[in-house]
Amino acid sequence: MTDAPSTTPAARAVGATKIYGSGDTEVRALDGVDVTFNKGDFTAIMGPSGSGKSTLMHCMAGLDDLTDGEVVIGETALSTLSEKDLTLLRRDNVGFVFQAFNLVPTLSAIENITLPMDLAGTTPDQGWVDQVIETVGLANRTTHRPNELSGGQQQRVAVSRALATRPEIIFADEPTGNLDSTTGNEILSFMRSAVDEFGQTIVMVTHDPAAASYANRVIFLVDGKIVDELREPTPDAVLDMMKSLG
Amino acid sequence: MGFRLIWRNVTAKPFRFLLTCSAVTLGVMFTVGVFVFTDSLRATFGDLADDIQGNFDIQVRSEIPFGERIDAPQVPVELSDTLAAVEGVEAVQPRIISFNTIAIDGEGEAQVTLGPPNLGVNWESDTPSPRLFVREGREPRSSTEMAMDVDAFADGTFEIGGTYTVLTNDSPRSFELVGTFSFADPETNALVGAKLIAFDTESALEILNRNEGYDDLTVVAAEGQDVATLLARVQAALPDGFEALTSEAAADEQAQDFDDFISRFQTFLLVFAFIILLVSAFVIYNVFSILVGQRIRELGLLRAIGATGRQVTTALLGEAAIVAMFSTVVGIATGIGLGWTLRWLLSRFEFAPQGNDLLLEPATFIWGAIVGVGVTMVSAIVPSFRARDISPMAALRSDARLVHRQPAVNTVLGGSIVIVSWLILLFALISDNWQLVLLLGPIAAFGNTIGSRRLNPGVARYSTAAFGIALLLLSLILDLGTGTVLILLGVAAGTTFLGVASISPMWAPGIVGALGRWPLAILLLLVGVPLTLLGAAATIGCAVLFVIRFVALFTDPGFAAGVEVVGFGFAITFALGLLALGLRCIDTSFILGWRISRVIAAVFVFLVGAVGVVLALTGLAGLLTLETAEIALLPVGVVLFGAATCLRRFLPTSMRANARMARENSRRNPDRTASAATALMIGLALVSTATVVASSFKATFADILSDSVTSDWFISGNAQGDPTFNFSTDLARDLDMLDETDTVVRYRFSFEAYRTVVNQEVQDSSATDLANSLEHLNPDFVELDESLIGRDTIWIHEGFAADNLLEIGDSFEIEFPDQVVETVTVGGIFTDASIYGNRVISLELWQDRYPTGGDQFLSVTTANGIDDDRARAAILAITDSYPQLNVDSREEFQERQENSIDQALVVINVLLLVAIVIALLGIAITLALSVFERTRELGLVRAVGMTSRQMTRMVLFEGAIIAVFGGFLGLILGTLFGAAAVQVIPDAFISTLDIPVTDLMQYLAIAAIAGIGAAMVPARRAARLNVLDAISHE
Ligand SMILES: Nc1ncnc2c1ncn2[C@@H]1O[C@H](COP(=O)(O)OP(=O)(O)OP(=O)(O)O)[C@@H](O)[C@H]1O
Ligand SMILES: [Mg+2]
Repeated sequence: MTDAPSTTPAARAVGATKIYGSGDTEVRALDGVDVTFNKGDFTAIMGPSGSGKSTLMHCMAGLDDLTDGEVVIGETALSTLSEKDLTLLRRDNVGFVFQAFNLVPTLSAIENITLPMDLAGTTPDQGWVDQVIETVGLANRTTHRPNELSGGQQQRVAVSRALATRPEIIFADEPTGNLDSTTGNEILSFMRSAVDEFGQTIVMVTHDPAAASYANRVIFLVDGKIVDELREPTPDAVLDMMKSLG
Repeated sequence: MGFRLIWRNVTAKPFRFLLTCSAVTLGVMFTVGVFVFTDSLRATFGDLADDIQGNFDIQVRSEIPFGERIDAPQVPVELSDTLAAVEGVEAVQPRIISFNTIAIDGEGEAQVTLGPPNLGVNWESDTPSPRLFVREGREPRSSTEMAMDVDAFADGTFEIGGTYTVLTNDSPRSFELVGTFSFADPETNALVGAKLIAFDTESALEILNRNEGYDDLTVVAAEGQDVATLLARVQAALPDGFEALTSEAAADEQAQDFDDFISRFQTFLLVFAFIILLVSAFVIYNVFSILVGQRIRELGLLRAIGATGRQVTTALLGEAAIVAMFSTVVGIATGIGLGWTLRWLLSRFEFAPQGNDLLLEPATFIWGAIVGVGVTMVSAIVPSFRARDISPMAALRSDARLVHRQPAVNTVLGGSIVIVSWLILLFALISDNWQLVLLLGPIAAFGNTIGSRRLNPGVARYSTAAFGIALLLLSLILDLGTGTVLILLGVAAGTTFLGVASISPMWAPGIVGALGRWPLAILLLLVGVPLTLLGAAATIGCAVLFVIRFVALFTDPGFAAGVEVVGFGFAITFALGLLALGLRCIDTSFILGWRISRVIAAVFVFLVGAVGVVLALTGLAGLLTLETAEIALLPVGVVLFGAATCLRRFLPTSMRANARMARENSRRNPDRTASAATALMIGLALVSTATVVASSFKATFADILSDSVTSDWFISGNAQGDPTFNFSTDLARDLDMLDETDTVVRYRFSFEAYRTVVNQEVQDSSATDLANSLEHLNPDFVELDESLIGRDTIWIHEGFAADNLLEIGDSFEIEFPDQVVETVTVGGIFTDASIYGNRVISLELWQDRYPTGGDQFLSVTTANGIDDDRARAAILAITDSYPQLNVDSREEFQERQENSIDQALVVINVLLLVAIVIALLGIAITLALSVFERTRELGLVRAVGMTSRQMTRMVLFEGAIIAVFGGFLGLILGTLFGAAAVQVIPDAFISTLDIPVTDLMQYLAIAAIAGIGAAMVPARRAARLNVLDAISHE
C-alpha cells in the first residue's frame, strides 16, 4: 500500500452483498465484496458480463441498497441514511457518469453541468466550473442542447457535471462504452488529468484493457467477488490477467 | 392488423385506458342524462295534458289571432245556455282558471310553489265526468267557501273548517275551507306540483274573472252522439270570435305547450352537453396524439416488419373503437342514472310534477352512441392517419417525430373553396335566419380552413381564427335579428376557439416562458395562502362538529344523526384536501427559489406559529378560568402551531433549475401543451363570457337605477319576468291612499301584447300610469308632449319611431288579442329601451283590453318630509297582507336584481363545471403520459440529486403552467366574446359593458389551483419512481 498516492479512503465497501430474487431464481450479484477506494485514486473495475460491476457502482453511489454489508462514502455509512439524505449525498458528494443518456434534453450543456448545484440552491463556484469546462474543451458549446452535441461531447458534459460539485468520489459505468477509441481516449485522458490535477477520486467500469491502463489500479470482479487486482496497469498486463481469469 | 395486438395495447395500461375513457364517458353521460330527464318530464306532462283536457268531448273558447292563451278574452256566461240548447249536448261545464291564486295558511305563510303555478279554479259541478274528486269534507257551495287539493292542504298548516285568506288579482278575501280534493283521480292526486284552490262557479266568476265571463266551456255529448257531428253543430251555433275543438285537439295543444317549454329547457341543457363533448374531443385528440407519438418507434417497427401504413392506422382506430364502445356503454348506463336522479331531485323540491316514470326512448340510446362513438372516432382520426406516415426508419431513431402532412398547394382549388365558403356565409347572413346561420356558419368556417390550407399552408394556421374574428366583427357591424346575431356570435366563438387551438402551439413557448416565471409563482403564493387558511379553518370546523355530533350520537342515536356524522367525516376529508392543495400551491410557488419568497414564507410560518401560540395561551387561560367561549381557541391554537411546525418543512430551497425544467418541458412539446390547455381554455372562455355578460347586466341595472329611476320603493314578486305573475290591484290603491307615499305607479308587460295593424307584427309592450310615471322613471325622452297624455297615448323608442316613420302626434292602429283595434297617438319618443322596452301604453287602455289581469310590479315615491323608516313601516303595514311580495328600497332592489343574476350565473357555471372537470382530467392524463415518457430523464435527475419533493414541485409547476396558459387564453377569448355579446344583446336588456377584472383574475387563480390539483397524481408517480428502474427504462 506504500505506493498509493494517498491512504485516506474516499469510499469503501465492507462485505457488500447484493442478492436479486430468491430460491431457484436467486442471483448473487455481489457476494461479500470488501474494497476501499483511496482519495485521489483512479480505479478501473473489470470483469466478465454479469459479474456485478454495475451493481457495485449503483450500490456504492447510493442508487441502490445492499442486501447485506455496508458502504461508506467519506465518513458516512449509507445504510444509516434516509431516502432523502441519500439523494442529498448523491447531489453533493457523489458524481455519476452512465454509459449513455446522461443529460437532461431540455437543459443546455452548462445548465446540465450546474444542475446539482441548482438543485441544491447553491451558487456554483464559477472559477472552478470555467476551469472544468476549459479542460474538457467545451468552452464554445456551453449553450448547446444535448441533441446538438456529439456523443463524445455529451459524455464530456456528463463528466464535467460529475466534477463540477467536487464530489468525494465519481463513479463511471462504462463511460466510453458507446464511443470510438479516439473520442474514448479523450474522455479517459480528461479523467486522468482530473485525478492528477484536482486530486479527484474516480472509479470506472470498463471492458477495454486500454481504457483500464489509464487507471492506477485495476480490480477484477468475477461472480460478485473480487478475484484479483493490479497496480499501475499496462494494457498488456491487463490483457494477461484477463486471460488468466478466463 | 390482428385484433390481438389492438386488445393487448388497450389492456396493457388499464389505468390509462380508463382515464382516456372517462372524458368520453362524462360527455355521453351528460347527453344521455339530458334525454332521459327531459323525456321523462315530457311523459309526465303529457299525462297531465290528458288529465286537464280529457274529461269532455268538445271545448269552446274565444279565438285569439295571436298572443298567450291565458290572456285570451273570456267566454260570455250566456253562451253556456246557447250551447246547452244544441241538439246532442248532454252537459255544458263552464271552466275558470286563474294564476296567482294563493292561500295564506294558519301560520301566515303564503303557500307559493317554487315553479308550478298557483291556480284558482271553479268547482265543476255540471259535468258528468268530473276532474275534481272530494277526499275530505265537501265541495265549496257558496261565496264564502273554498276547497283545496290534498297536497296543498298537507303542505301548509290548514284545518278543515278553518277560515283562510286567499290572494287573487282581485282583493284578498277570506274563505272557509270546507274540503280537500284530488285532481283527475279519486285516489291519487295527479296534480303535478301545482297548488289548486276551488271555489263555487259563481264566486270564481267574480273573484277570478271579475264577472267578465268563463275561460272556456266544455261540452259532453249525449249518449250515442257522434262527436264530429256535434262539433259541426256547436260550431254553427257559435257567434263570431269563438271556436270549438275536440278534447283530443285540446289535449294535443296543451301537450304541445308543455312540450315547447320542455324542449327549450332541453336545448339549453344540450348546449352544455355540446360544450362538454367539444372539450372531451380535445382531450381524446390530445391523448391519442401523445400515444401515437410515444409509440412511434414501436409503430415504426411494425412498419419495418411489413405492416402497411393503412394497417397501422387501422390498428390505432381499432384502439379508439374499443375506447369508444366502452365509454359509450358506461356513459349510457350512468347517463340513465343521472337523468333519473335529476328527475327525482326536481320533483323532490317541487319544481316539477312527481312521477317516477323513467322513460327510455330509442333515440336516447341512438344519440348516446352517436355522440360517444362519433366524438371518439373523430378525435382519433387525425392522430391515427398521421401514424400512417411513420417511416420504418422510426424504429431505429430515438428522436423520431410525427410530421404534419400539408396538402399540396393548389391555388385554383383552394381559392374556389374559400370563395364558395364565403358565399355560403353571405347567403346565411342575408337570409337573417338563425337556423341557416347555425347550419351554414360552421360549414363555411370549415370550408375556409380547408381551402386556405391549399392556398398557402403558412397562412392557413391563422385562417380559422381569422375567420372566427371576422364572424365576430360581422356580428357587431351587421344589422341582424337578435336571434341570428347571437347564433352568429356562437359560431364565431366556436370557430375562434378551434382557430386559437391550432395557433396556440406557436404561442405556447413564448407565453409559457413568460408566465412560467415569477407571475405564476406569485399567483400560486397568492392563491395558496388563502386556500391553506380556508382548508385549515374548514378542517378544524368540521372536526369540531364531527366530534360534537359523534358524542351526541351516543345520547341520541338515530339514522339521521348517523348520516350527519358520516357527512362531517366526508367534509373533513374534503377540507383536508383543500388544505393539502393549498400547501401544495404554496410549496410549488417557491419553485423559483427567490430569496424574497423564502423570507415571505419564513415570516408567514412564524406568524402562523405565533398566532397559534397566542390563541393556545388564551384558550389555556380560558380553560383555567372556565370561560367557555375561549376554550375553543385552545385546539385552534394548537392546530395552528402544529401547522406552522409542519409548514417549516416546506420552507423552500432554491429551485431555479426545477422551474426551468418544468417550463422547458411544457415548451418542448408545444402541440401537446397547447392542446391540453385548449380544453381548459374553452371551459374558462365560456365561464368568462357568462361572467362578463352577467356583470354587464348588473352594471346596466345599476346605471338604470341611478340615472333613470327616481322612485323610492319597489314592490315585486319572486318570479320576476314571469308574465303570468301578477297581484291584486287593491295594493296600489291602498298604498296610494297612505299619507307617507306620494305616488304609486303600476306596471304591466306582455311579450305579445298587441300587433301593429299596418304590418301585422306582434309587439311586446309595457303599460303604466303614464302621467305619474314621469316622477318615477325617465326613459330619456327625445321628445315628450305631456299634453298628449291620455288613454290612447303611446310612448315609443326612437328605433321603432324611425322604422315606422312615426313622429310626435302621429297615430296608428294596434289590435289586441280580443280582436279590438285601438288607435294610439305617439306622445313621446325615448332613447332608453332598458326601462319599458320599445313601447309603453297607458294603463287605462291596457285594462280595457286585459280586464282580468292584476298588477305585475309597483314603484312608489315617498311623500315630502317623510323619512325612510316611517315610509317603510307604512308600506309594510299594507303589504303584510301579501306575503308573496317583496318591498325593497333602491339599494335592496338593486341587491335583489344582482342576486338573481348571480344565481343564474351560478347555474351556468355549475353546468360548465363538468366541461372544466373534463379539461382538468385532460391535463392530468397529459402529464401522466409525459411523466411516463420522460421516465428515464426523471430517473437521471433523481440520480444526480433531485429530491422527490423537488420532483413533485416540478411536475406540479408544469401542471400549473399548462392550466394557467389555458386559463389565460380562455380569459382573453371569454372577455372578448362577453364584450361582443353585450354589444349585440339589445339595449333593452344590457346596455352597459362591465368587465369584472377581479372576478376574471380569480378564475385565473382557480385555474392555477386546478392545474396543481390535476398534476397531483402524476407528480406523485414521478416522485415515487425508483431511480435505477427509471434510468434503465426503455
Ligand atoms: N434488477 C435485477 N433483477 C435481477 N437480477 C439482476 C438485476 N440487476 C442485475 N441482475 C443480475 O445481477 C448480476 C450482475 O449484474 P450487473 O448489471 O451488475 O453486471 P455487470 O457486471 O454490470 O455486467 P455488464 O458488463 O454486462 O454490464 C447479473 O447476473 C444480472 O443478471
Ligand atoms: Mg454493467
